[in-house]
Amino acid sequence: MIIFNSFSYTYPGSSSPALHNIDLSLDKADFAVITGPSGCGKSTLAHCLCSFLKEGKHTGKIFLDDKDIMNIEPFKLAEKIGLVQQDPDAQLCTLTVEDELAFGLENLCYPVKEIQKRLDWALSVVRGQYLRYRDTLTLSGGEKQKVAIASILAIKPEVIILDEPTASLDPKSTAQVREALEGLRERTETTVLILEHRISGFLDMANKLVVMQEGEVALEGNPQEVMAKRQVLEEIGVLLPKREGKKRREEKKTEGKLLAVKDLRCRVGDKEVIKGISFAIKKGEIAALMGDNGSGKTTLALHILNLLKPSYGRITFLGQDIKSRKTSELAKSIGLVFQNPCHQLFEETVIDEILFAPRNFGMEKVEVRAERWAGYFRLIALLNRPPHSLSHGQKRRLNLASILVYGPKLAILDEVFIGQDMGNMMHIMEVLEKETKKGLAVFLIAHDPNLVSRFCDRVLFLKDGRLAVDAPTEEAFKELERIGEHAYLPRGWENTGVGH
Amino acid sequence: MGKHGGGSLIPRLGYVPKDSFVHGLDPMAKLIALVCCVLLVVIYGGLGFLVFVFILILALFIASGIGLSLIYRKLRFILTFGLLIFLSYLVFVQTGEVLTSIKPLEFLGLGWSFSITKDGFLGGLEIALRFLVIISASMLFVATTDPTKLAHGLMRSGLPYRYGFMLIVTLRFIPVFDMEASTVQHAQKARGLDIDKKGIWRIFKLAKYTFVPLLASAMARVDSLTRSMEGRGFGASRKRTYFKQVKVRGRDWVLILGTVGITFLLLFLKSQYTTLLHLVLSQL
Repeated sequence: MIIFNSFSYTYPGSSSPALHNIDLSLDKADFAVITGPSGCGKSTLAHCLCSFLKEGKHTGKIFLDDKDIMNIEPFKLAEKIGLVQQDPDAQLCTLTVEDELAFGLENLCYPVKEIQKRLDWALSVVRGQYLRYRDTLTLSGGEKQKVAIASILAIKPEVIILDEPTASLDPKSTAQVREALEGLRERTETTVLILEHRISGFLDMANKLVVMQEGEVALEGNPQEVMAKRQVLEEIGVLLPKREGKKRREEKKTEGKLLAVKDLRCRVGDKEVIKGISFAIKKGEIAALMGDNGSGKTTLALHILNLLKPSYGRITFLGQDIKSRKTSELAKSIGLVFQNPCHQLFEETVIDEILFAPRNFGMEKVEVRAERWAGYFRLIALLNRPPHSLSHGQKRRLNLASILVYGPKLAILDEVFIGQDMGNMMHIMEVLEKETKKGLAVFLIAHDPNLVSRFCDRVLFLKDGRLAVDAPTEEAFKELERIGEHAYLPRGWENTGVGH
Repeated sequence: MGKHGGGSLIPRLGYVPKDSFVHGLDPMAKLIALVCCVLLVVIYGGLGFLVFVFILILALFIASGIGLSLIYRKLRFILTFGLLIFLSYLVFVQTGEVLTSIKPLEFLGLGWSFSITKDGFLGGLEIALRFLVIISASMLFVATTDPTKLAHGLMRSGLPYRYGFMLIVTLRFIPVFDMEASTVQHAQKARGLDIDKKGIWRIFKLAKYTFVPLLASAMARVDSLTRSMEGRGFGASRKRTYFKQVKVRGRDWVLILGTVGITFLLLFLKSQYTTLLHLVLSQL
């Protein structure tokens, strides 16, 4: 149904093609997963399919039912191809779920009766009837994605493309998106195309797996067949290499209390988000903080830097109460990387961005150090580029360099691995692990249990405003299994873990 | 930034959601009533009429469950302004029957005096009241009308839907940007920027450090949003259908016909009266 015929695409102003000689075909009701490292061309492929990229140069053709896609206007394609994007917030344009679902059909001038029928149908396919009368603002990330999928499904396109639909979602929201996709697969003939870094959650649904590398199709076929080529996948950077043995970093000494939180309670508006939690973080430790979106992880991070004041309880850093300390001074010892990379890029060039904090702290002769950190995070070639022009993965590494350059004792990292491919993830963790040997403590807010089980020494789990779990990693996962948080267990855990 | 009264998550441009008779009226009917009210206030005027309308508006504020405290808070500035208009009339209108004379600068030994005249007093009162009535009527409209419904109403009545959706999308993203702005401020402090330091240059820098990230994030959002809207056929044709059916009920028609009727009647009477007056004057 969709046929790529030696298709190449070059962005305007670029000399090398983003897509090179793509030959690919998809049939009706195919459920395909496309993966590959950052910059491999997945998103370009999706945008070409939706005919969003008209400015650049292309050779070859993409056919949809024997028609050349590049000759069709985007809105004429609306009834044939729909795109669900990564950011759940940026693709809902109305204030209520009903309006959102009806939006496409209204634009295409469907009669009211038909809209009504399709609305019921689309919501039931994605298993989201309970969302019908909600305001879009009150939805969780997973629910927003469900609505986004349903609002495209309502148009009954032949193809639905999902561009990293779960990258910014917690495991529970991811499960909701999966549920919606299961419904799509079982009850419709729609061709589904998922672009993802973290493919494991989708492979059991897929009948096709495509691996891309540097703008070309590297591997293609049945998921089992493709996944069997483990070594190739590791080389391309789609899979994490297996850890040698089971040993943790025993040689590392984690000692000396760095941060201590005692009976902390926080309110956001009228709601008590954190209801009395206590924990400590030691030097050289990598501790993970897990929990559903909205469970208060980011709120907790803001309190540690005294950006928000607790309603009760005490936070001490190196034995000193932080209550009376200014954030801008406390920040020198505690680095914080926020969730959205855009919100923390202030300067005009990458090198100035890395130097932003050191200059604020009045540190001198840090230029050499800044360049060294740019080197650690593979940014050396980009030093004079404007930060906002970088790719998502590069921005994230720049965020990290901008914090680590001034040598904080504790680094709090809020979801830094969203949208990173396996290669970058490994690389970042290697850099961090090296620093922890020199005493840096890392407090990692993360959703991905596989990553946490692989790299973290300890896991803290926030649930309903309390610390439901605070234990060394292996024990913590056993505990999570005991309290029924199966979405937070690493892959393969239930086979190897104790009991079930 | 990032703080709304009562911790409400949805600040909808002054809209106060309540379940009342006034809220339940059709937005377009209310808009027509507002236009009529403004027309009458400007063209018809008259002290008695203005006082009557003002009391009516206050009564509707109470009936809508919003109460007078909100308008008092918001009207303080308007009241001060109205008072200023009134005072300037007192000072500058010196024609007509003199009520009293004042020498405000007598204690400085200056004999300059001005009179408070009937024309000045009544004229000032009327202008100030007109001002007050128009502002408070508009406030009543905004506070009791869901802007989404208004946008839909306008689009049904012929406003091109692109403009209607500008309003809806703005409403959708105000809370998002509000949250982003406070995140950016947190991020500044977390990187050691001391935002308490003073100085022109620093204020300039601070503004830059706030707007650059916000703008970048907004641009990314706009890209996604455009793709999402165009991908669902927005702009595909000039017309579009509306799934939500609006019931214009009996009371909406009463409101429309009532206000339009009264407006025509009063303006007609006024024009008759003016012609009559001209007739009488020309006879003298």
